[in-house]
Amino acid sequence: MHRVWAIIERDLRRFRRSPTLVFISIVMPLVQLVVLGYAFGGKIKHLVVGVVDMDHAVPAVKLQEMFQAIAANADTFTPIYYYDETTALRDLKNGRISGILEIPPDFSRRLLAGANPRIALVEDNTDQFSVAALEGSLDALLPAYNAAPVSPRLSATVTLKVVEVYPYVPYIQFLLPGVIVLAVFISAMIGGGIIFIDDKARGLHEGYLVTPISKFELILGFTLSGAVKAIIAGTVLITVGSIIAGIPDPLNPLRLARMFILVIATALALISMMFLIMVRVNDPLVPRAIFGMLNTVLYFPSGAVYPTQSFPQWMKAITVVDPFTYAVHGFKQLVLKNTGLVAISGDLLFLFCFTALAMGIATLLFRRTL
Amino acid sequence: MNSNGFAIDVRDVTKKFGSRTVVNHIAMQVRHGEIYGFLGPNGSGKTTFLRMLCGLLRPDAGSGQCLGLDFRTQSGEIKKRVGYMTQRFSFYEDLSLEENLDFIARIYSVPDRKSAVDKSLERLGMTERRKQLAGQLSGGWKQRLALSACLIHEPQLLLLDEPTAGVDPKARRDFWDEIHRLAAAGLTVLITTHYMDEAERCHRLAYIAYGNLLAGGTVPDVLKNAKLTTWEVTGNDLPALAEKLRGKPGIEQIVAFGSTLHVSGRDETALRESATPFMTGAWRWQPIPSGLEDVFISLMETAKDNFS
Repeated sequence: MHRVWAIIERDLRRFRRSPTLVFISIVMPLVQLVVLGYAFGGKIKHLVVGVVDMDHAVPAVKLQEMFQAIAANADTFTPIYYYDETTALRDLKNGRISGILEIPPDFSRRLLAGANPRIALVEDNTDQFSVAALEGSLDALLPAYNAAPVSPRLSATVTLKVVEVYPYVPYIQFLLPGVIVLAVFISAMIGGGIIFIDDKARGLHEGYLVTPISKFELILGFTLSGAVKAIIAGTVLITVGSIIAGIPDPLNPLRLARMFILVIATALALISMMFLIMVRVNDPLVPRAIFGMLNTVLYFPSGAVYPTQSFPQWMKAITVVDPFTYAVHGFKQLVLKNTGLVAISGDLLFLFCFTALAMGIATLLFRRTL
Repeated sequence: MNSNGFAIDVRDVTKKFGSRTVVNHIAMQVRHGEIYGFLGPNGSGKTTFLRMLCGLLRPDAGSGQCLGLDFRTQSGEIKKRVGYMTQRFSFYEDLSLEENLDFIARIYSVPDRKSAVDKSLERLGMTERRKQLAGQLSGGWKQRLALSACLIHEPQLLLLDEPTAGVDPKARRDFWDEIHRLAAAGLTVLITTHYMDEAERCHRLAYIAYGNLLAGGTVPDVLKNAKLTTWEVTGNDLPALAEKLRGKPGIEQIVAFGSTLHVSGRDETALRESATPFMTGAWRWQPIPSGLEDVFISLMETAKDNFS
């Protein structure tokens, strides 16, 4: 028993002397509780829905007022107005809006004639959670619209016609973009974090710090070598993963080429982020502990497993600065909608700027001495 | 900066870690082509001093030049001209010898690096093993690889931090033969070691303890300046004799050397007076020249411990 106590005491002493490990082991479960709780449990809000009113008569305006009422109260969606359907459809495909509500030109005439008119919901069905929230909100709205406030004046009722822009998206396909980013992240973690700290722990970095290599050369070398490994992992996922998930036309060269560009941007951003986090770390146990923490803090709030519209404000703040968010959004556009590079230009811009910023700060923080 | 004939010429070099002074106002002059031994117990500041010379650590104070360059402000240039062999094997065990050397050659931007790698492998007799993974090498071969890597960019100064620790006597001898060949070709070598036989193979040496330089010069100079008188005692029950002698006036050091005891002190008269009662038939006393080990142990024990 003395030997067992010796081992326990030794390990606890070492644990106590690593404040980062103590912090992560205690705080990590709490972070997981809060992040995962809010990542999956919230109501979806703030969906942006385009409204194309081709009627403009009083019944159509009344319908629009009810959309505004939803925006002001339940806030499930916020309507923005389009003059034509083409522009709205383009924005839908580029991911700027989650759906289009179309009020047909003969809406008021048919309503007043008692001919049961229909409004159309053209939805981005690549995100089943958002679609369900939107449909639910409209299903609740239309009975209220149809209900007579005093006495029945209209004999007709308005119904909703749902139009799905894309073929049915099963959950495995919805998850694929997040899994691609996760694969790149795991490689980034190993390439940009663990290897660097292991070099430090084994004294290998002393060997190259004594050479004339500059800080920037070192960081760029580490980043690019890590990125190459992450790109290989990402490339396997965008091809094999697409086949397994049943993405239509998975080996389309144009789509693969676009995804490859996004894999590169993602790999560079995540590797440089890892390097920035690890640049002052010496304890080889820390990156292993940080891995779980980062996974929770960055992956789940990215919208990879549940729409970001359901998150509380503080979590939305994470999604704004989280490179995962932009990578996941970009892959969703390419994998699920097969859009062009224009639809992900904002994501690419963020990821490349993030890379430059993270590498710049890492270079400043990097110690050229021991 | 003018080198004044010295490869290393620094003074008042000081380094503190928190409140601990690890290197305390050390001065050192090493001539071109000289093998300079740097000795001292573990934690005495040898490695810290070497790291400051090659820019791995920033000194808190001090001035001087290394290879004609200001060692505080021109560490980038110094790194190009220095080969540094770390105490730990700092090469990739999952790369072959050739790949390790090629990596180092590329980092130093060595021109015609393939031929430099070939030359390096050949010089140290490692051509046959070029494809072998570094992790599969014995301690002696790892040491050869480390030395090869240090030399691949043809430095003017070699800084070797305990290069022979854990290496067998044959490999140590081969290593020192190589060091002497390199020095004869004009390379300056500053080497830290614990081994007294190695200290004696240096042209000059310095002894450091607790961050303070305690002695320096050629081996005869160090021995002479120590002014240490040593008696060798043989006979029965030497541990009992050692206990009786300990603490007597003039007796500073009692060290067992195999079946003999070395009794030393700097006050020859006091030492003799304390020893006389024990110069009986049971023990045979004989004055001997003090060795480096006697001198260094004496220096260490009398040095002020900065950390206590």
